[in-house]
Order: sequence, then C-alpha cells, then structure tokens
Amino acid sequence: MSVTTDVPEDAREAATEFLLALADDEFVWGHRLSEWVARGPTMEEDNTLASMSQDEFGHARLFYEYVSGALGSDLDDLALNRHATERRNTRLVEAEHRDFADVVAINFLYDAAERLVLEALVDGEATELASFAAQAAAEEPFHREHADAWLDRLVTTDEGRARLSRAFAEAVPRAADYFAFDGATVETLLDAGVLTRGVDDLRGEWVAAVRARLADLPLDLEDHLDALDAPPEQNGRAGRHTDALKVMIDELHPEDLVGDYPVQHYRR
Amino acid sequence: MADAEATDDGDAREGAERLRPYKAEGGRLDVYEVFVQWERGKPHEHAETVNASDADMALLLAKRNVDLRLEPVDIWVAPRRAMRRAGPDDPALTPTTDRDYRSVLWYVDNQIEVE
Repeated sequence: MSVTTDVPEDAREAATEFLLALADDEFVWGHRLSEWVARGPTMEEDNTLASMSQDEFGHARLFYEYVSGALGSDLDDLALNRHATERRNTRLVEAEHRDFADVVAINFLYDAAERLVLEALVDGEATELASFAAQAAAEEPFHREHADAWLDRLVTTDEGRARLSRAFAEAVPRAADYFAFDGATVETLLDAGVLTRGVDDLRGEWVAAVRARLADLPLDLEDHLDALDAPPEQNGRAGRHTDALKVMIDELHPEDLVGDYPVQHYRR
Repeated sequence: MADAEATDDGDAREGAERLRPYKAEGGRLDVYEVFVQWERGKPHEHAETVNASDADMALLLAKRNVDLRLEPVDIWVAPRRAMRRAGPDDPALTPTTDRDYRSVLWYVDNQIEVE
C-alpha cells in the first residue's frame, strides 16, 4: 500500500508531490467542515457536515499513508505537523467561513474539481493508487448531492441569493489554483500513466461544468466566473497560502497541551 | 407537501420557480420521521426524526443522521403531518371482551369435533 511499490521509480517523487497536495486538500477541507459542528442551521445539518468532514479526513488518510513511506514519515506527522508553508492544498479550502453559503459554494466548486482528478487517477496504471482513488470517489456523490440540494434551496429567496453570490464571488478566485499543479510533475505522471488526463484538459471540463450548473441558477455571477480559468492570484499548490491556513494549523497545536501527542514536536 | 413554488419573500425569479424553498409553508421546517431497514428482508424501523424544508432534504439529512457504520440497507422518510397515530389511550387498541376464539389456536385448544 505504498507509492514505493506502486509507482515506477522515475515518477515516484512526482506522485508523492501530487498526492500530498490532494491529501492536504482533503485534510484542510475536512477541518473546515468540522468547524460547523454546533454552528450549522440545524442539528441535522451539523451532523451531515461532520459526517462529510470525516469522509474527507478518511480520504486524506488514504493518500498520506500511501506516500508516508517514501517520505520517511507517518500519517500523523504528515497530516498534523507540517507547517502552512509546506502545505500544497488549494486556497479554496483553507478560507475561513463567515456564512453557511460559504460551505455550500466551496463544497460545490471543490467537489466538481476533485471528482475529475480522482477519475483521472482511477483510470491510471498505479493500481493501488487507482483503488484508493476509487474508494474516495465513491464517497463523493453524496457531497455533490449535498451541494446541489442546498444550491437549489438557497437561491429561492433574495437573502439566499445575496449570500450565495457573495460566497461565490470570494470563493471563485481562490479556486483558480486548484489545477495549478507544477507542470513538470504533471508531465511525469502523464508519461508514467499514473494520471490519465492533463490538468488543462481537466480544468476545461471543470470550468464548463461549474458554468453550466451556475447558469442554471438565478444568480448573476457572470463577472466573477472568468476567474475560474485565469491565473491564480496566489498559488496554494506552490505553497503560497493565506494566514487562515497558518491559524488553522497552529490551532491544532495548543501550547498548553499535556501528555504525549503526535503533535507535540510541532513548533509554531 | 412543501414543494410549493412560493418563497418566503414571494418574488422568486424566473428559473427558480421549480426549485424548493428552504423553509416550508409558514416559514418553518417540517418534522420528518425516519424509518431504517437494517437488514434485507427485515421490516423498516422508526429510527429518528429530522427537521427539513421538504422531503428530499429530509432524506438527504437522514442519510447522514443514521449510523452508517451499522450499514443501513434502506431509508424512508415521511412527514409527520401526513401520518396519523392511535396511541395507548385509543380504546380500539384495548378490547374489553374475550377474543381468544378469534384465533385459530382456540380451535386447536378446544378440539372441536366435526361429524
């Protein structure tokens, strides 16, 4: 269950880099979802977001463990103890939420992109990785269902439309780095057959899918959606993050923590 | 049902009319009873209650408010206001006369001989 046995040697570093980014996405997004516990519109919705959070942590776990051997590290260390500057997640998932519309907008944009990457791995030649990607992909339809259900309902009132528009206006520019993976890394993975579709191809499909779904809603987002395929203002895939991520990672390491925890070696 | 096209601000734009308002009639969420089948071939059991704007949202929430680790086979939701109950005080549930003879077992126990 490891990149060292599953991926040819010349593509191993690239695969590790790429999967660490996907794992960071899932870990950071899982954390943001978990922050909705006891803050959502209803208790039932809190439970649902918490359940989705656990899905994402589970997917993060698959990918962290898959690369941990090659990095001489372990799951806890990779997930908890890497500083914000070492993370490769998209900036879309690290933003702090101010409103329920944020979780709906981000979940929609993120899931639409993630699905395409997972599918491109499922079809790849690294068979263990393909099976992990398939496991993760199998739990994503519910997240899509959740996004679709809330989009359809929130747009039925003026207030809902205003809040969703604000959330999308902020989330879309942050989503622009989702496919901004290092070019050489992606080329290596394509050559090795680990990834079956290039990121420009995937980005094109993502932008079209996002545009089509949002055009179907009574929201006026045309001016904002051009940012989907514009170069990102900052690229989380290159380790350029907002302060929100550092605050989040630091929060996992309270200074007054007593006892022997895997997080105790982290220094702020 | 809560599938009415009216919204709480009454001015859903064109295109939104087929969509479901978040709040049900009267601006409140409805209560839905959730029934779960835990094993194939076994009956659905009442499992919990969820508050939701409409039946589809109730089912969505129910799917993540039952314990998935117990591997449910099927989930049904029904609006409580569409349901009727009898309850323990209903005299129809507590017969006062002997009804044993209504059971086939009574005939076995009493060995009725037929010529």
